[in-house]
Amino acid sequence: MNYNIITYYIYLPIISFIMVKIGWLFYKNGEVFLLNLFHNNAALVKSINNLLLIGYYLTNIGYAIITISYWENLTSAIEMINSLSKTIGKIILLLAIMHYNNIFWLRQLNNSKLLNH
Amino acid sequence: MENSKIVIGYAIYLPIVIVLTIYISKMLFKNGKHFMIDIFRGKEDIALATNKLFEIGFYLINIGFALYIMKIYGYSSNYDMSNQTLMEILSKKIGGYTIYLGVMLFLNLYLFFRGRSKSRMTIKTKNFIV
Repeated sequence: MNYNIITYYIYLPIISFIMVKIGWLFYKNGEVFLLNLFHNNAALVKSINNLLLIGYYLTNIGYAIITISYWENLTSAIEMINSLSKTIGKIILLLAIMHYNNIFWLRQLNNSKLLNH
Repeated sequence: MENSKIVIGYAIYLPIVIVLTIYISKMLFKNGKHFMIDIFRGKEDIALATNKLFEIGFYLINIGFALYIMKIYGYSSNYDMSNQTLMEILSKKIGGYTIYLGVMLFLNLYLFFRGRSKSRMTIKTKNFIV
């Protein structure tokens, strides 16, 4: 066991917990907006919401896994903590940017007549 | 066994990828049924048949692609691969495949939305002409 493998074992549970939790929160709270957009067509909204959740999980967890293959070589515990915090922070910032992007689009769609015919 | 690490890599990669593909396509087309019924305006037999055909196409494309990218390049048989290298190679392959699958899922969702809005538009024009 060198430092890299230990880092991967710490990194994977943390990041998958964060992603699953955040995805679940969005899934719960986004349903109201979708119901508003699709005029309370509950069956359709449920399936759209499910598909969006699965797509979110796939792309984000895929990205989290793929960062492992570009990890730098670690030689000490301090380097390990530094690189862990840097990578996890980067992913959380990306999630935040995507989240605000989502809110922006929800607002645009609510205002426009794109789906409301 | 010669270069057994690569064989172990394949043995981890294949089950993960195949189970993931089957699960995703089951979920996608369970939820896609509502769209299809919406698109074909309640003609259920055509909707279900179309759904099934799309599902078979999804399986073929994705499992084919997963098998196509399986080969691990650049490691000869007399070089002993470390566990770390194996993990990194596997993470690249599985992560990349997962992102690809997510993109395919969103593409399918886009097709569903497009079909839905097209079929709504034809209803509208028909009503307008009548």
